[in-house]
This record gives sequence, structure tokens and C-alpha cells, in this order.
Amino acid sequence: MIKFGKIYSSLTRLQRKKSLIKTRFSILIVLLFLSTIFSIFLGAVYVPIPTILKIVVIQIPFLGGFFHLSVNPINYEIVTVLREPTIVAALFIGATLGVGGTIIQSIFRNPITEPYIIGISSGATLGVVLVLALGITIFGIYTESIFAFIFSMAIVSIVFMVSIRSGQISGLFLLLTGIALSYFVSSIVAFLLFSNIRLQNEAFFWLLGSIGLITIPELIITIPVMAICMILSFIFYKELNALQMGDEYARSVGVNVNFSKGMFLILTALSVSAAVSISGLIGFVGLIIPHISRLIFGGSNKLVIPSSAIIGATFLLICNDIARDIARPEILPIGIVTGLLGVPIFVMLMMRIARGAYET
Amino acid sequence: MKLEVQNLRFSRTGGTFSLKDISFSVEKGTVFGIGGENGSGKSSLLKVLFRHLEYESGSIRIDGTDITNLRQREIARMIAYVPQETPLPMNMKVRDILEIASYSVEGNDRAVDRAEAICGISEFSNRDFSSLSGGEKRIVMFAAAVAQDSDIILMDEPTTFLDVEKRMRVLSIIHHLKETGKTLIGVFHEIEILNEHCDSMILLKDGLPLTYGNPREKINEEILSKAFNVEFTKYETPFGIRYEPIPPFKRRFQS
Repeated sequence: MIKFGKIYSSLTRLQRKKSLIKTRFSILIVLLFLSTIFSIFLGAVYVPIPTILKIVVIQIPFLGGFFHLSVNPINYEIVTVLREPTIVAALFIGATLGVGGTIIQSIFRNPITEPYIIGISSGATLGVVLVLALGITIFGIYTESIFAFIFSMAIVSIVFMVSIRSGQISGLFLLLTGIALSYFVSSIVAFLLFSNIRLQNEAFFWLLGSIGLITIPELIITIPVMAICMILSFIFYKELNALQMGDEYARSVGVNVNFSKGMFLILTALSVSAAVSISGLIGFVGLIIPHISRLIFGGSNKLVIPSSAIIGATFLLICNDIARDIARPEILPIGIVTGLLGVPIFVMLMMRIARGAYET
Repeated sequence: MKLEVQNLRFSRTGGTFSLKDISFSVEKGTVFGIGGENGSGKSSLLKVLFRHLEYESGSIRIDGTDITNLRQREIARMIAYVPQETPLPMNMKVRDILEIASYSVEGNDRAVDRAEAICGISEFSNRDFSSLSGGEKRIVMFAAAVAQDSDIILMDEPTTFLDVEKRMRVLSIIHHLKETGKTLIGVFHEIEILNEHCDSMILLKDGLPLTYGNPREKINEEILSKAFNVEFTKYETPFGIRYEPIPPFKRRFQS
């Protein structure tokens, strides 16, 4: 019954597929690298290219001290305090939102969900608006971020607790609870904004997302959270693949469904809350980036998780460059650019690559 | 592997449906059939066997080991499952599905290659799963169960909705697996499959066992009428005795 010719041809096809995947990943990594380099040179103030290169060299441990290069301190401040943190933030936040979207869509087996749906966005917004409305300043300039994270996790926890039925996490129940609670919290936010016109202006930038003013201490705290959550999600990609087949099938192949689902939801809640707490609500990335990854690499999360991270990072970096430079000296909220730039790219990709992948 | 079920009792949370006093044993290298009308508890019984649904009392033993004490991964190494409804994961290739199935298998690449060859799906290994026809999807799900490399394979209506060629292919795969020592337990709606392809079987009625044993000895017109609430007639074919339901409107003309 076993036909060796067929096995051989299937194996050669598999090798061809693997080399194609490697090529595509290499292209994505090169694009990420180029856009990172490009972003350092962009900004409201002109800094000469040789100066930027010197600054980059100075920062390299050991090597920097060896060359004794001198640069203008103002230029040094512009590159290291304003540009570099923004670039690092864009990379990690974009990657986190991309991976978060991949996980949530896989767990709920629903292509139109995104990480915000489990209560992250509404909770974070409530935290920030409360800080603004009540004039809370207990954590200094980090009060908004810390309150956004705490309220985001609080709302997600309520959604989880309500959704656990007889020891099982019901996906549909969680989705509905998340949406319902989001509406409830949004009503409170809307009431607070409605009652104080000053708040509307202050909350506006936060609601559309902004990564221009992120500080190094904020990054030092949030980057490890985002990085660890992404790495753990990738390590357990097989469980996530199985969950895409539904609870019944995942259990039949040996996955501890409740544990895996709970773990992925906690990882997503932590990482995306950390990202949102410093950037505000950047829409579109968590919803669309996983689809772009799947269109390029297929549905296995072994490829979708790392590619979503790379594409998400590159995409947010480019959006940030546009947001900074399109209306100089004004900086646009990044959420405006993500939608305006991302949707045409996605539609174009879907028409060219999908080839029936979304037909039922 | 030998599977033994004793005095199994299961009831659905919040519902009136239940399985009661289910006892049977399935020997290694045999095909076991579960029959009965819709809603009689066949699919629930299969899902209880790999503990997707938790049973209330009784025992399920595999080669003497009670599965209550086993982790899900240990159960999956012994029991694979072909679902009735084909899952539709986003943008997955056929090979991805087989790799998911071999989650609990060490050295799963070889198991996947073998399963593709046994089920004859090597040619569309890299095709998008959602682009396959319903019958092809079913064969892939069968191959996935083979890739799981378990000794027991549970099948929920593996031949339903298949054209004649695909049905014969599934039956050939079942026989091939049986010859290689696998234990197969399937829910079947076709009486000829229960009668001709199963070594033993159980017929369920409202969650209770109606009859259990060798189908050639246990199946007759009377028991089938009880199980399905329709009268049956018996006739000889070159392949053995077959049973055909008599539609009520034809029975009027017969009398």
C-alpha cells in the first residue's frame, strides 16, 4: 500500500517549501533591519548621517570607548533620548500586538478577533481617563501607564472569572463577556469624557495611540514582559496549533486544553497590557498582521508567531516614521496611520495571495 | 491494545440525556462497531473513551490500566480520534493538520510521512486544508489519526457523507490498520458495515445497551427494528446476509 515514489516526491516538495520559507523570512528580516536603520535618520531635527553613525558606534559596549569619538551633545540627546527609545518601542509594541492577535485568533478560532477584545483596551482606557479626571499623580509621570496596566489586568481578570464555567474556559462565553464588559466600561469612559471637555483633548492622543514620548525607564520595565511572553508563546506553538482545531480535537491529541488556553490568555493579557500601557490604543495591528503572516506562511503558528512579530514590528516602525514626518513639526497619532496605511496593504495582499484561503 | 469498559455511566450537564450500564471489551487487532439511532449516545460514548467528556462512574481500562489516572497526553499516546465534524483551522496545510495530530508522538515527522503514505494523501500534503473536498478532508482526518500513532483509533461516523470510492478507501484503511494490530472503534450508521466489517459491536437505544457481541450472531430483523423503530427485511448477497429497512409506505403495499 505504501508507495515510495510518492513519499520521495512529497519529500522533495517539502524541501522546496522549506527553502521558500527561509527566503521569505530572510526578506522580512532584511526589511526590518532596513526600516530600523532608516528610522534613526528620520526626525524633526536634521542630524547629519556621519554624526548618527558616530553616536551608534559610541553606544556599542567596549567598542565605543575604544574610538574616542566626539559628537555634539544636543545631537547625541536627540538620537539616544528621542529617536532610539521610540524605535525600540515601535519594534516591541508592534511585535507584541502582532503575536497577541495571532494567539487570540487561534484560541477563539475566529479571524475577526484581536487582543483588545478580552477587555484590555477598555480597562486601560478607564485607567487613563480616571487618572486624568481625578488628577491622580501618585506615580509621577508614570501614573497613566501604571493605571492603564492595572485597570487593563483588572478588567481582563473579571472577564476570565465570569467565563470559567465548571472548571472549563468557554471561548464563546469569554468573547461575549469581553465585548459586553468593554461596552460597559466604554460607557463609563464616555460619561467621564462627556462631563469634562478638557479630558477629551487629553485622552484623544492616548485613544489613538502614540509612541513618540515613551521614556527609557518605561521600556526597561515593559520590554522584558513583552519579550518573555512572546518567547513563551512561541515555545508552545504546538499547543496553539492544536487549539485552532477546537477543544475536542486538541484534547484528543493530548493537549491539556484548559491549562494551555489559560496560559495563552494570561501571556497575551500581560504582554498587550504592558504595550498598551505605554503606547495607548494602537488599533488594526493585532487584527490584520496575523492575517498577513498567514497569507505569506500558511496557518501553522510555528511560522505565524515569529512572522507576525517581525511584520508587526516593521509595520509599526514605518507607521511611526510616517506619523512623525508627514505633518512636521506636528506628530500624528500613530493609530491614524496604522489604519490608513495598513488597510490598502492588506487588501492588496489578500487579493494577490489568498487564492481561496478565505473561502468556506 | 485491549480496551475494557465496565458499568460506564455518563450524563450531560444540565440535560436529561445519559449513558447507563455500558460494558464491553475490544480485543487488540479488531474492529468494534457502535450502532444506534440518532441521539442514542454513540458519539458521547466515543468522547467519554478519550475523556473529552468525564464519566460519572464505572471504569475504562486499556491493557488493565484505568485511564482515570492518566494524563491527557498519555491517553493520546494510546487513543486517537477521528471527529464527526471536520475542524476548519485558519490557512492550515494538510501537513500542518497531521503534525498537530502527532503532538504527543516523539519523532513525529516519520509518523506523519507514514500516515500520508498509508492513506494515499502524499500528493496533496502541501495543499490548503480548506481547499479540499469534504471527502478529502475526511481522509486527511483519518490520516491524522494514523499519524498520532496510537494503538486504538476511535472513529465517529468515518464513512458518512463519502462517495463510494472514498468509502471503500476508508474501509481499506480500516482493514489495513486492523492487520497491523490496531484496535478500531467506530460509530457507524450503515448496518452492512456493522455486520460485515466489525468483529464485535454494541447497539445503543436511549443511552442503554440493546445488544452486544458478534454482529453475525446478534444482528437480526427484530433487534434492528427495536434499535431504529423501523421494520427490516433480510436478504442474501455474494458478500453475506444484508438487512434493508422497509419504508412504511412500501410496507402497506407488501401486506
